[in-house]
Amino acid sequence: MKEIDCLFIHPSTHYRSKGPGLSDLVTFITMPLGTIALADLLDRHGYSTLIFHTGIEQMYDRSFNVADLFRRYDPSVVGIDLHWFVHSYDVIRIARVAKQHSEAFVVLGGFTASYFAEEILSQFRCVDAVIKGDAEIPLLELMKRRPGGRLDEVPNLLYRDGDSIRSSGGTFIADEDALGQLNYSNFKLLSNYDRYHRAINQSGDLDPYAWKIRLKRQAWVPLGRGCPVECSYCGGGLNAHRLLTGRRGPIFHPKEQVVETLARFEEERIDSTYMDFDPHPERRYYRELFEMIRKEKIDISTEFALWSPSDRAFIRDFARTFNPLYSTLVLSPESGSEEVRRRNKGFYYDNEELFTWLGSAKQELVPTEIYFATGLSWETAESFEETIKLAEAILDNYPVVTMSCNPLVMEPASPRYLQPEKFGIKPKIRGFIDYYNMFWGLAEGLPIETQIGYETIWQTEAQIIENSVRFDKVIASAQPRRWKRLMDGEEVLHFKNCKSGGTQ
Amino acid sequence: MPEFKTDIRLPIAVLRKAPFVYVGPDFRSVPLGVVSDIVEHRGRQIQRLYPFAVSEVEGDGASADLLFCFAFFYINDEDEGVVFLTHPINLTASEDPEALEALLAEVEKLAVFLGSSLIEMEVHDQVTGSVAFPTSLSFISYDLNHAAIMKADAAHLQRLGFREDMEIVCLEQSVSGFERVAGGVDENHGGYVASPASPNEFATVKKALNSPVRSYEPTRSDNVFVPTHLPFFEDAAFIARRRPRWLVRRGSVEGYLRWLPNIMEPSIEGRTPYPLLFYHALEDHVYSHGKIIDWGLSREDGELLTSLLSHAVKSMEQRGIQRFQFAHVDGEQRFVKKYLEESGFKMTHKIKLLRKEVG
Repeated sequence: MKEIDCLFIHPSTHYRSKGPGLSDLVTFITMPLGTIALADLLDRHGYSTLIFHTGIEQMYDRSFNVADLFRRYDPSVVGIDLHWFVHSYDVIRIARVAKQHSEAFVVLGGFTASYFAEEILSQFRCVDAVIKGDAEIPLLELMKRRPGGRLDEVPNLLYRDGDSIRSSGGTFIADEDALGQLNYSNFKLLSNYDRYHRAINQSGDLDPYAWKIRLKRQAWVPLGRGCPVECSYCGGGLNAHRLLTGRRGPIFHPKEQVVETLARFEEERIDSTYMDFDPHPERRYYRELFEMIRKEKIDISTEFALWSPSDRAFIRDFARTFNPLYSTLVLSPESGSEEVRRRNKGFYYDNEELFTWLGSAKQELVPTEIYFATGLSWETAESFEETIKLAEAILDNYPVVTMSCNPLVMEPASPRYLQPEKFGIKPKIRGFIDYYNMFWGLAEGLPIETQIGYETIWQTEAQIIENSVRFDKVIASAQPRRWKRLMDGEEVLHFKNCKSGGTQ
Repeated sequence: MPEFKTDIRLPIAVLRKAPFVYVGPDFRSVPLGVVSDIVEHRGRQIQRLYPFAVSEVEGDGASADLLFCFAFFYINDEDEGVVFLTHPINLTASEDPEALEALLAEVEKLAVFLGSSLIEMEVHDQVTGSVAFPTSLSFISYDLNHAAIMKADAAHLQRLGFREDMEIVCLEQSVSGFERVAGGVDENHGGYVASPASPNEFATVKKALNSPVRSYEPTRSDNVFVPTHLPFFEDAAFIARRRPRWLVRRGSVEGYLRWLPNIMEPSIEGRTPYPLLFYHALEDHVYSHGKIIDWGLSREDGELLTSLLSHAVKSMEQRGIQRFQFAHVDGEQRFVKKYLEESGFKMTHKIKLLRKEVG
């Protein structure tokens, strides 16, 4: 058995199949971006460390189980990320295994852990501490004080002290300088990292021979932290950041660091990156960043999630910066109803602005991904029809490569979670234990009380889920009507422009 | 001793090393990095698409991509499953014959797994001009003027068990050159009358006119190959009938021909490998080249071919197209080749189709 200072374990969410012929699922396989940077930080400070992604391990070795890790390694600290609530059950399951099979100190981090830190520590003795908010310096300080040191000197820490739970005094909020010190591309610290880059869908599968050909290797790019606005359903908005990390506005990673990370990605044969940090609609940072990427001649594709429509110049800039093979622009109008969108989204835009943006993407030959949601506050059965109509109009007229409409799930620390009445929400989830039970039920194939954690005063949970199913039937699997007529031979393409003069 | 690893992947370097357009199955998903096309053969559901990337693994675990080849499964007219390989693309400056061997070893394993006894490889043997779309028999067309295609070493491929099965050529002529030779582009030639056809009419005629004088297609039993995947342009498909005799309304169908504008032009200009996703751009572009991709004649008759070609050339001329190519002429079509050569066409592209039996 090998002694190791810190073993990071990323949980994946398991769904037990409920029907014959269906396979179990390992899902939500994306790891929080900071995990590799945290491990690298410890590594650079002389601590031995490794990251195991349970989903990736299991997808390629069905016999994998977490307990085996503790037969191979004897860690002093086990760090488990609980950023997204979907991992609520698996995190605790892993923490229990860690406690059963080792003497390790178990520490959690991430937004969900930060929000529910007191509840988790009071209900689950398998967890020793939670780092609330930014974790880099706190984790390093924790490692320095292990074993036996004073934990009250570790910033952002809530920890168990005998039968009581204590909060440390200090606070750490990463600033741009701190972000600039991090290295997000030390992939060798992640077991089977090569396979992680191939896991490009959120829905992984226990069957490695599923009928899906995955064409690319992908990695996420760290760009910044924070948000300037509040979307009703989002647990990562302005107020959530204040509450969870103390951050009062968005900050960016230094552009030079991003370029360096992309260069490392290129060396690692990453084909495509995912960029999802777009807090300022004027996008000056990106114009400068894209110019630097072009200057360095970095060849990579990018899926860029816009938080609001951009102007055409940005799209043109994007198109000439990235390899077009896997480059797409992503926008989430969420609702077809302008009123519903206005009341729910921090960045509001009307349908005309949306169509102008789609028209620009079409003219610049950039494929788009469009995402809707259902279960929004003030959404009614009638306003959902506007979503269907808008989606049909987009599908028929613009270069959309994927479009979906998922039911929103109640996110901890979101405005709807914090003030349900204000948003017409009737919550079915009120604390960490409800998330834990929900995902325990899914993992064990047990009946669960709720799939999304709420209903609204306008729609029941069943209606919200049905909206999504109907969207899938009507839109997601449909083809643009003109394309269908072209393929059926009912219509032809026209030559709209010809050279005058003709022959030479 | 280098270690090779063959993976199913389409690295972005392929687009840089060999700009291409993809018009194949599930083209809408490719920008998302996933693709799937399930074909049923002899009661078995089979994944059709296998983009292979060969990489070299160094001692320290670092890898470098060396070679790419898009392989796919199709069903031939004898109801056999065939694994078709597009011309391999070099992803590094130097060529490593062992990388090709690693690729072909993996392809053989795939063929056995899929129950195929035949592997076909498309080799771009000669490129003497600017080859218009499609540059391949398959749904992935490389820009052959800029593509870093692997050198086809016939002796090496022979040692690996491949034999040459067929040559398919493409010839080019200018619109004005053809007009001079044909003595103008009159609508009717000899005893034939050609007229534009709708996509559905064209399909019906093509199916009915089962003549051996026709463009090469690897199969008619599987719709994976190019012509069926591309939308028709206006005034770009023609059928020729025998000139009607007195009291007979329509003469018998004697031939068909379809051309396409060179959709590689707007794709390269707009830096997109997905022309079918942006078909508005295909309509907006001002084309320089056209290509006759699908043709058939009831008999070896120069007047009949002139009649069809005249219509196509007139249609191209009206769109400002200056040069055109006549594609998919295999070795059996001596008459057509001779006709084209006598009409001033010059060879611009030769594909060799190699075959290997496995299992």
